[in-house]
Amino acid sequence: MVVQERATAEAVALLRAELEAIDRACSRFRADSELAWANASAGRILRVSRLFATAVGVALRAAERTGGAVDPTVESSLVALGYDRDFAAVRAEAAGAVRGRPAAGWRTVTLDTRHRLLRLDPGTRLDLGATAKALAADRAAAAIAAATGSPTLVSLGGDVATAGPVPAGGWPVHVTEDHRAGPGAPGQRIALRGGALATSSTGVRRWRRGGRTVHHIVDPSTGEPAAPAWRTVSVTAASCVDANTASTAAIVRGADAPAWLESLGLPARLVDPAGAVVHVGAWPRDAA
Amino acid sequence: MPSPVQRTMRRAPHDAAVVRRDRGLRRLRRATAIAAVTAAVSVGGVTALAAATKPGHASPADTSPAVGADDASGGTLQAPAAPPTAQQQSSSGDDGESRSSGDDGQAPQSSPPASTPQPQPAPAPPPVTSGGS
Repeated sequence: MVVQERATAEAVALLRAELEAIDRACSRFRADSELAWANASAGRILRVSRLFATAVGVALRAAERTGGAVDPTVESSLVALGYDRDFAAVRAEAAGAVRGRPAAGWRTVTLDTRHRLLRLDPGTRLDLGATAKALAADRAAAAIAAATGSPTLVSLGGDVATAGPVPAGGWPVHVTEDHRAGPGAPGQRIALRGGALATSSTGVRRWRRGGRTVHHIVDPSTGEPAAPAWRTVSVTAASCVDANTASTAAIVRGADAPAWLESLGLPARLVDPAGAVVHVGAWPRDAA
Repeated sequence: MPSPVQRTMRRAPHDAAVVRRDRGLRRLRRATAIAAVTAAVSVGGVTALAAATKPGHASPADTSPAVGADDASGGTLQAPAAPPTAQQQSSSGDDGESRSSGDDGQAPQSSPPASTPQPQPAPAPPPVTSGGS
């Protein structure tokens, strides 16, 4: 998080509150989360919190706007691939073979946001990993900027949201494959002039099962890890949710991702498995 | 020929049955009416819920400050108001403290008199990293 120094204490408090609220509502690995409750209550109509209804609504919109490439019902697919606990606890390698399990599909989720009523078809289980973190970044940045008036940038694991005034020269961001990498990692330095930026990569969050490497970005139609057309995709958009939705969908869509992003007017940078870079729209070109 | 009193007495059992039948019918009508109203309310409720929800859809009421713009997006992902740019290289490296005067292609400006107060440029924010997670 980056804010003016005078706003730091208030900003930290707001960010912590937002993260705690999102975690309590949307974590797949907390037994007391609303998501866990919803997954255990498929087939019943539930009255959920405003935040959880918003998070599910955002996930369903992401699915609709990507033609189902980003789908909140991939939980069973991820579990079938071995991602069945917090990633830090997923064993890097195990002998048991895994097989993709197609997602139930986002149309098996019914949500009445006005009355905060949610129903999952029997057998449907939610995973909001593709959108909840970006939603938290958007909400935290907006709340901090509104409360402090400070130019605000919130980065959550590489999902970057900004709000408030834009600093002169923009927000410097190093775009690379792994958000934990230092400024010297291969990539590109850009200036973000408002809006948001997200990067999705098949190079992180990988593990091995039955002698093959799998990763966390799943094609909902097959339940298998997305084919490796792109190793890393970075997208800028008006919100972090939109940026992350687009970057994740681009990985899933594969070869036609540049044309799809171009049609949406979303500046993007795509890196293929061999390291070749493709720029889309107004994304600045890499220095020679 | 029976007297009127006798006729009344003889009809009494029959009249009582009619009264019971009429009461029963009224109760039945009331019960039917209540059931009809209940059914109508139920159908109305289900219809309203069906109208408010659609599988795989959220009703448009959900907004958050950051995603409120989605409602006006016409169902597409929204591009940023301004695209990113290449990071300008400052004369002092990446710390961004002082930008070389010619970096926007403009002629260097002459320095103002020493007595003119100099606005202090806000320090450039430190870079953050965007990568897969």
